Amino acid sequence: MSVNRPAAVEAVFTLVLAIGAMVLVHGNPYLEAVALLTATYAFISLGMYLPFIMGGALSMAYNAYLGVGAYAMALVATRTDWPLVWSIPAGMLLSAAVAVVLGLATRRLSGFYLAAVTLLFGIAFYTWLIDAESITGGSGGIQSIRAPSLGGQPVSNSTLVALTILAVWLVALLLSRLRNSPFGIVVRAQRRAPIAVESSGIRVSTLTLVSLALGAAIASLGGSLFAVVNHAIVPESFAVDLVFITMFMPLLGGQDRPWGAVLGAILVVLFTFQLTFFKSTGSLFFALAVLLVLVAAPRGILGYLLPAIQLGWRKLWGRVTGKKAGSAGG
Amino acid sequence: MPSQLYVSILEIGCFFALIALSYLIVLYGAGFFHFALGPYAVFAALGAAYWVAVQAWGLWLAVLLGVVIAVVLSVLTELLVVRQIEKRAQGEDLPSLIAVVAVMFAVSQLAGTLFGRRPLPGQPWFDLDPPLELGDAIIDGQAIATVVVTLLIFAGVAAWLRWSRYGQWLRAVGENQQAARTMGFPVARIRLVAFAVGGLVAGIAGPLFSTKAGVNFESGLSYSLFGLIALVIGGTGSIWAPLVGGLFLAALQIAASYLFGSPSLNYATLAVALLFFAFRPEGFFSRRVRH
Repeated sequence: MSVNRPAAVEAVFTLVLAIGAMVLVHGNPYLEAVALLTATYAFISLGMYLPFIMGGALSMAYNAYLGVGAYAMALVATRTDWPLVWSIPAGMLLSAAVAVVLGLATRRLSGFYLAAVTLLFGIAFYTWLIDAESITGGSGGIQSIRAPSLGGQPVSNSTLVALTILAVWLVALLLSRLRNSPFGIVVRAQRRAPIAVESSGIRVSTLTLVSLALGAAIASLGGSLFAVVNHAIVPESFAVDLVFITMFMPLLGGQDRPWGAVLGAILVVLFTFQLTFFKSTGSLFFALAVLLVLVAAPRGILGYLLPAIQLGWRKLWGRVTGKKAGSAGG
Repeated sequence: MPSQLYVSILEIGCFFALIALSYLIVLYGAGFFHFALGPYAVFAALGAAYWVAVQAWGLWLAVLLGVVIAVVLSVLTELLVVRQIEKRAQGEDLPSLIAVVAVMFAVSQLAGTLFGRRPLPGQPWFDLDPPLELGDAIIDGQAIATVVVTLLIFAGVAAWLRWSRYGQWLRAVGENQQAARTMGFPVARIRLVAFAVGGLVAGIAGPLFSTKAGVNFESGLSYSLFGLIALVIGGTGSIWAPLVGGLFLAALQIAASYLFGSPSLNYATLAVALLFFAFRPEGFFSRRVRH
């Protein structure tokens, strides 16, 4: 039996970090709130990772996809007595459908035009959240979202936060595997060589639609978890500003792996620690850091950190086994 | 529709037209959509309003400084960001798009940090006492100033493109940089001029329009978006096309919010953008080669 060693190392190593994060925040309401914010950013950023970083299509309507998931959860919780967990696939399907429709409407647009139209969509969605009071509760949002229950017992918030962290880990790991799968390789190839991909019998437009749908579903999952842990949602949480923060997370953290998006989310929350995001200079600092990374260090933090760690590890390993450094690379 | 709304259409339309014109200049000269132009307009407007209201400077000094800063920011964007990133992008346009969105975000945040995150009122450039009354509509001095300054800028840019050396070179570079470079045009300098003039127009537009509704550090995004849609509607075939696009978009927005309430302004903008991209992506005016 062959084991894909780098993949196994990646899975175990990141799981250890995720469990560490769960233990760190467990039982501390403040840290749990910080973890929830980080995880929500991470979900949007991971959702954008597939179509944007891998596929090269800057679709920016992700505040809407997060909102669809959150409002799906909130509406199921307050208007039905269904088990809350059903709202998650419902939100993901609805988000994916919205992404496909928007993707079809913009399928001939690229680059700048695509970004502009999807931003307009995000703004229109946010306006609608405030406007459609009978559905969304208007500017007051939706309050008192009940806790999900398991075997008749309500699930505690600490457990939900731990599950959310686990979900971030799982989604990032799956995306990382997807990136190296045939599908992922084709998605990345069509960014630079769309004609080559077309000529091998794969329709680029379908490929883009599938990645947009998957990305929207990931963001929606984040929205549902955010709503259920937070117990209340307001439209301000789904304004387009959100997209400007999250789209830069993978660039800051490192584009080569989805983990860069998660690292970017953690960094952004650390930048603005204890401060209300848009009332601080934290966002200016973040914007300048992004520009600096874009111009001077385009591989992002992980892009420079990981090779350094690998080199150090090999040297250490070489010293332990008595082999020369670098020969363990294979 | 009350006739006062037509005055609003004129003012807002002129503003959109100026932002669209600054897009068009950078597009001609550098083949690049300069998404950060909206935040430059905000920076100039917010800066001018802040220096007048908080520091008690004279209006013209404040406006002048705001405009100069918009030009400097635009030039710095080309020198420090766009040029560096295009060098290694290998013809892909996504990296410079991401970078200019980052610039947009950074400039907005810088304006908010320097001048505060509350909206500030703009100062009128031209007081008319008593204001002109035309039927039911009241036309104040600033409305007249907005229209006059807009027409002057359009005429000035048209003359500059037609008669000045750099103006004539601008299109050659935007059309095909490689060919222009081969023919010995100073491409880097022409691009810089395009960014500077684009920043200049946006920098004047911001303070000019800020008397209408005040200015907020976050307004840059909608300025950029509405200016772009005005450009798409008008098309890039004529230097006057942005004026048509701007007035069309403003009329649509005002009519939609008058008829269906203010939220429909954003729905109507999205709808018109999708319709134009789907059925008339070249806008009203396109350059056609005659046979």
